[in-house]
Order: sequence, then structure tokens, then C-alpha cells
Amino acid sequence: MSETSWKAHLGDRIPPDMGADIDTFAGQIALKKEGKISDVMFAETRLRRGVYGQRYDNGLRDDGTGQQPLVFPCGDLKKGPDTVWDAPGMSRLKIPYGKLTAEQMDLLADLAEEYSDSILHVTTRQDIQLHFVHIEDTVDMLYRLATVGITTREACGNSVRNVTACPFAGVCNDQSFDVTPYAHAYTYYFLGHPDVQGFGRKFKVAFSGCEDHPCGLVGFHDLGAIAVLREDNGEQKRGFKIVVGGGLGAVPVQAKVLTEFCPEEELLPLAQAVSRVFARLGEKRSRARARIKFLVDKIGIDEFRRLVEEERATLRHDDNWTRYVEDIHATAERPLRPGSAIPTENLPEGFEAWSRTNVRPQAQEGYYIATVKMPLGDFTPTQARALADLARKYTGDTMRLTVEQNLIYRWVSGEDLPSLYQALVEIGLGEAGAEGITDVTSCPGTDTCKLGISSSRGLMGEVRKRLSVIQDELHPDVQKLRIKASGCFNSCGQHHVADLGFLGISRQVGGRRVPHFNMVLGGQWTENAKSYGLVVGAVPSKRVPESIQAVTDYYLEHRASDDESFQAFIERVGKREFRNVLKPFQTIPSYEEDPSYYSDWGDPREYSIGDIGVGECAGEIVPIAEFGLQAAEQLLFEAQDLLDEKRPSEAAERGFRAMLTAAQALIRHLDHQVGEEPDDIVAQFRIHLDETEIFHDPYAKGKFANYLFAAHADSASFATADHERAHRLLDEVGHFIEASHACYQRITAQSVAAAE
Amino acid sequence: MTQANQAQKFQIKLFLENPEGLDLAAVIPVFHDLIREKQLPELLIDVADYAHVHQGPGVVLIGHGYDLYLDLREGRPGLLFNRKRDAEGGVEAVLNQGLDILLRAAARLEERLPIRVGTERVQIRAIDRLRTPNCDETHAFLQPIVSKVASRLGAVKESVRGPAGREAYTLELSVDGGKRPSELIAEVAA
Ligand code: SF4
Repeated sequence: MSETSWKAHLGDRIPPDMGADIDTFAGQIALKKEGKISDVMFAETRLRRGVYGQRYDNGLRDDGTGQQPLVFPCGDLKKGPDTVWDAPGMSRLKIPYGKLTAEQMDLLADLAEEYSDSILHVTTRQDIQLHFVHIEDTVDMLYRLATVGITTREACGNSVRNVTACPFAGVCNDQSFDVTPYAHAYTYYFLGHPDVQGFGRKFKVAFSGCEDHPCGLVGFHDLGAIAVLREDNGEQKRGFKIVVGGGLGAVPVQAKVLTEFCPEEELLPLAQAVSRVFARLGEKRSRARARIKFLVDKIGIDEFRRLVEEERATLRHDDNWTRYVEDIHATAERPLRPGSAIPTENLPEGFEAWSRTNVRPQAQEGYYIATVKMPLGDFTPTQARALADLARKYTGDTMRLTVEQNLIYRWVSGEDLPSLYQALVEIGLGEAGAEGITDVTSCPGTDTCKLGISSSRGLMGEVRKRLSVIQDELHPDVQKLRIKASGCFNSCGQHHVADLGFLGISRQVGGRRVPHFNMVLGGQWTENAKSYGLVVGAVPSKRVPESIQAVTDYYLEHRASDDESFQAFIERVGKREFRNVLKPFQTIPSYEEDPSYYSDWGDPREYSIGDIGVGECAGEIVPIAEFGLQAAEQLLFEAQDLLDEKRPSEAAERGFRAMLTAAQALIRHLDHQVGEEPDDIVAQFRIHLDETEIFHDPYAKGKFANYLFAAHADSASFATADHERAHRLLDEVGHFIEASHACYQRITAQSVAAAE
Repeated sequence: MTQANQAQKFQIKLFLENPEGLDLAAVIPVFHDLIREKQLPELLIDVADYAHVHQGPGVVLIGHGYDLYLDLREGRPGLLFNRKRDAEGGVEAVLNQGLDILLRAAARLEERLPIRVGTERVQIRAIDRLRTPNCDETHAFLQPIVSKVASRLGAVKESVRGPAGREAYTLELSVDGGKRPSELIAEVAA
């Protein structure tokens, strides 16, 4: 019996463009195993498909007494520098603006069960992550995801990450307008777009429907778009306030205003111009300074704006900039059932408390938004299938993930809320307290992240457990505070914008390490994460839960009036006062007195930072040209295979495509725009590489460029090429790609020399 | 025609006899020790704590070829073996090897913690939806093999197939027996 593969089984349910990209990835896995791709190149390739490394993937693990090798069966095979092939990894699945259908959710449940550890994890960027996945399972997973329209492409790497948006978009009472179609258009316009492939670092984009509420959190994004309506000749004109250069990380920076009003039709071209300026001028050598915030800071927002405007003026027109505006309601959701009021009698136990914190009315009368609180963003395949069924039953198919690691249902008719709540209780997801003090957020921290210093998930799990018990007794002003934790300074847990934020650090005490968290107080979640919190001091991990209580008690006792918010209080009282509050928790007993301080939450091993690896969040920095040349080589391999299979006409066509791909890579490397059409590529190549003699070999001069011109002139005949013709062409293709590599090296050497 | 004879991805679960007092936090150091001591076959890597998830995988010992869960699924705590990759032999061999590992892990847990892993009821789930879809053909192929493997725990009294639909193909068997995992391991060794 022959073995069926997922690809064969799914057949034409895999969209061709997505299938082709996954085929390429499968081919690169095969080439890597044959030793034909470098570790760095392969790492970038997989990262751009959302296939990350995980803790211990350097083959070393600290068992509490010292580092021990993990001997994986793959031997020396690597999937990136110092990243062992067989080591389990994380797969990040892009869920643009968090919108999921029931069908997608059903598939995610299957994948989590088959390839991961039976847990689906919602991230702070509205993605889904699966952990402990083997690299060779990722290809099947990607084919299966493609059938429901989910991609992992550019979920990581130096490109546009998952585009996030306010989960209430379209149903919110305060929005200027529904940002969903714009977030959707942004996602798919830039997915794989050549102008976002040459970044030195990742690029995070967020949309918000209004300025005042926190849902979009645009303030800490590389590019943020806030919906704005403007009167224009008596008509309401849609547009966006665009901000750039925000970011969290070790040094959080608020985004600066690029423009107060960018008309909707200018959104994509403006973003394209921003991308091109960033790709051209952003730092490439030092990853630590490669985010756009450093560029904006270095040249100033006014100069950055001038450059963007200049760039915008040179962009070639693209119909796709505005095509989606003509069908702006395509992403709109419709209710399944008629709207109605929430019943007031015969309510299930716990419903009232749940509806107080987890339910809010929509702009559309009779409909409600219900938040499902996911503990630490985790849920099981069984819960996932049940959630999908609830969407089918109550909302007509869709759900949205939130940056607070929850899930929401929209368009729930009021009379359905009690039964929805009851169904959630049955699957263990009917907890009240959404968006409050028990609804903690955490990055993966030391659980799975290679950069984690302390266990943010372990800590947040403990805090959540303790606070859930006393939740109802807490003062209402404390109940609504937000707590967030990051395992290290990279701030993926968004702790800077929490009321109480925690950042993992380590301290040396008596020759041993003790996990700690820096406490950050008073970050502003509202007004799109308008201001960041104040670091008040470090607390040993094991004392953090008590210190939270001390801080909130201090606030209640000492605030100027009942109206003084937590943020206002922190601002007034200042750091010094809180140092005193934290002091009792900062003393650390010796190891002999109490060894529990010397291990982390949820991990009884003696604490060590020996497990920290080299991070992959940032992606490897491989110039876009190298990618293009690599892709050209792969096309040549495929062409040679086709010729061996006695398919000369297809071989010739594939070989010609390889030449075009190499040429395109060089054109883009020189920062010129070029499309996908052969005529355009050849014309641009002639102007920028041949007539300038940049491509010319010192000895052979223009000979290899002429191979391209000749192939282009002759391309109509490839459909009938015989073996001999195809063979000759592939020889020329090989020389052309070699010459392209040589040309690229000359250009690089010249720019390095110029820089020095 | 299914490809069930090429399937590797199976879960085998034995249920706890005394789930009432289960302390998941106490399982974590035992799993760490299993990594450190290298007493179980193949490479073991990490421990993941999902105690906060309702009826989830509980605490997971992550390995290269298989995982072990102190599983809470369906509200029925038990020790679960999850074969992911790199198994050798046909379905029967894969299941037999899985059961061996499961019994050895159960015996270690019983030595260290006040828990009792029952052997009178075993649940097998076939989670590879390509090779073992939840259909009658898969059932016809797997049922006799699973029964044979389960009979190592005792004579099979009953076998009940789980519901068809989206969930993975599941077969739950009860056997005459009631032996401790350590006794069953000793019998195999003898
Ligand atoms: S904040 Fe640090 S530990 Fe947490 S996910 Fe980001 S890089 Fe990893």
C-alpha cells in the first residue's frame, strides 16, 4: 500500500499560491538535509514561515546542577546556527486581527493534538502558537492550514508581523469606523511584498477604531493607524492618523505622529513608502538598534516624514492600493439571530457576575460582545472544538482573539447570553473577571522562550490562582487593574502598559542565582497605551504575589480621593515611596534557610540562567538579495530535475524563471522597484545593471547579461524546446546565477569599503 | 482505503484509581527526575505545566519521540503516553512499546507519589487523521490489534468505541486484572 501524504490527500483544496510557497519550504528542508543550504540561510527561511526555535534547541539543558547535553537522534544536523534539527520548536500561526472561523478552529484543534502538546496558545499579537513541534511536521501542518486560509508566512523574521486590530472593530460604540477591512487589506497587500523583505528587524502594525480606548494599542507599534473621520465638502471622509516608531523592548518609545490624516486611499501607498524608507535606511548590522524607532529617533520625525513623502512621490502606481475600498463591506459580519435584550429571570448561577465583567453591549442594539477568559492564553483541542460549535450556534461562525490572550464572540443576541455562558462553564471557560486583575497576561518566558530569564508564565499562573480565590472580596478599583509579565526585557508580555507590570531578571545572592522580577507600576493601557510605567524595584519571584497585595493595599489606603486612579496615584507618589513598600519583600534568606527562593515558579530545578540561548525573535539578518539568489538556485535545481524527467519545455521555462528571479534580486538590492513580469524585469536589469556595467564580469564583460537578454528574446519558443535547447539554456542559467552571486559580492564589498 | 497499518501516532492512557488527592505540582519534580535519570527509553527533554487549563494535559513530560502527560482530559485523570514520531515496527509493535513505557513511568510515579495508576481500563486514541481517520475501516483494522495489546493487562472484558465525528478514533477497553504496573513490568521482564 503506498503512503498517502497530506499534500496528496488535500489536493486542490490547497490554494496554488500558498501550496507553491510550502513546496518551496519543503524543498529547502530537503536541501538542508543534503547540506546544500547554510544554517543561517535555512534559519531565515524557516523563521519567515513562523517556525521558531525553542528553549534547549542548542542541545543543552540545565538540570538544576549543571548543563547536560540533550543527545538528539539527528547528530550534527542543524536548522540554524547552534540550533539542533530535531529539537522541538514553536510554530506561530498568523491570525490577522485575530479573526478565526469555526472551521479554522476545528483544524487548529486537530493540529495541536497531532503535532504539539495538546495546547493552543493565544499570543499578545492575536496569533496562535503551538509548541514542541518537530520541524519535519511543519510542512504537513502548513498544507493543512492553507486549506482554511491560515498562513504562517512572515509570522516571524524581519518582516511585517501579524497585523493586529481592535477586536471590537465593527461593533464598538466609540469607533470612528470599522478598521477590519483596512487591517485585512494591509495584511494581504504586504504579505510577501518585496518592499517589506529587506528590513533589518521585525515590523509591527496595529489598527485602532478610535483614539481613546486601549484596544488597538497603536502607541507602541512600528506603525499604528487610528481611524479618523473628517468633514470634506459636507461629506464624512475616512482616513487614519498614522503614527510610527513606537515600541516596547528594553527602552519603550511612544510612536510619533507621521500624519494627522491620511485618506483611506493613501493608507497602503503611505505604508509602502514608510517600508521602503525603513528598508533603505534602517540599521542592519546591529540588531539591537534595527527597529524603526531607532531610525525615527536618529533622523527625527520631520526628516523621516520628508523622506516618506519623497518616497511616496516616486512609487509606481498599484491598483491594489485601493481595490479593496470598492468592496469595503466584504469583511463585515452579519448576525445569525435577531437581536434581543438580556433576560432578567431564571439566570444560571454565576451569570450575573460573568456578564458584569465579560459582556458589553454592541453598537447594534440587542447584540453583545462576550469575552472568554483563557487562562494564560491556553486552551485545549476539546475546548477549541466546543468554542467552534458555540460560534456556529450563536454568532454565525466567527470569533476573535485578543491581545490580552482571550477570545471574544461578537453578535451574540441578548437572550442567548445565559445559554452561551452555561456552555462555557461546561468546558471550564466561564470564568468572570475579563480585563481585570485576574485576567493576567504573560509571554512564554522560560517555559519555552530561549531568551527568558524568569518564569513569567509560572508567576502569572500563581498570581492568577491566588487572586481568583479572593477576587470577589477585592475593592472594585483593584479588581479592574491589569497585570502583565514578560520573561525578559524584550517585553513581549507588554508589561510596560500594565497597571502592575513585571519584567524577569536574575540576581546573584551568596554565589547562587535567584529569579526576580522588576516591578513596573502605572503603565497606561487606555488611550492606545499612551504612557509607560515606572520601574519601582526588583522583587524575588517567590515574593511577587505578596508584593502585589502590598502595593494595591497601599494605593487604597493612601490615595488622595476615591477618584484618584492608580496611574495618577503612582505619578503623584513616585518611585521612592514604593521602594519602602517593596522593602519587606526584598530580603532573601540564605539557600540553607529557604531553598525555595532559589527555584522558579512551576520549576523545581535549582534556578539557573544557563539555559538561555540565542534569540530568534528578531530573525537572522539575511539580505533580501541572498534570498532571491537562493530562490533562483532552487528553481535551477527544479529545472534540472524536469530535464532529467524528460520534460524539456517545462525545464526551459523553469530555468528562465530562475534567471529572472536572480535578476530581480539584484535590482531590488540596488533599491529599484520591479514587478513580476519578464519584460519589466529584463528592462530594469538592462537599465540598472547592464548599462551601468555593474553586472559586468571583469573578464567576460557583458557576456552573462546577454544570456538573460537572449533567453528573454527567445522565451516564446520554450514551450516547444527540445532536450538540447533546454540543456543549453540551463547551462547559461547556471552561469548567469554564478555571475549574479559574483555581482552581489562586488556590490557588498564596495558598500562595506565605502562604510569604512 | 485507510493507511492505518502505517500509523504511529497513538495515545495510550491508564486512569488513576485515586484521582481525588492528585497534586499536579508534585508530579513536576518526578518528571524532571525522569529526564535526569534517563531511566526511560529515548530522549526526554522538558516539562510543561498546564495545571491552569481545565481538563487539559495537566503536566507534560516532553520527549523527542513521545510525551507523557499526567492527563486531565474528560475530567478523568490518568497517565497518558503520546507517540509523536520515530517509532519502529508496525502498529502492534508501536502500541506494545508504548504500553511498556507507560507502565514503567507509572511504576516510577507510584514509587514517588501517593497515586495509583489503574490497569483495569485502558484508552487508546489514534490521533493521525490522515492514516487513522475516525471511521469504520480504521476501527476494523485497529480493534483486534488494540485488543491483543490490551490483553497484556488481563483478559479483555469489554471494548467500547468512542463517538464518530471530529474527535480522534478512540477505543476504551476494560480488562480482568488489577495488577500493579510494577508487577506487569516484572512479568514482561521474566
Ligand atoms: S519577553 Fe523575553 S522571555 Fe518573553 S517571549 Fe519575549 S523574548 Fe521571550
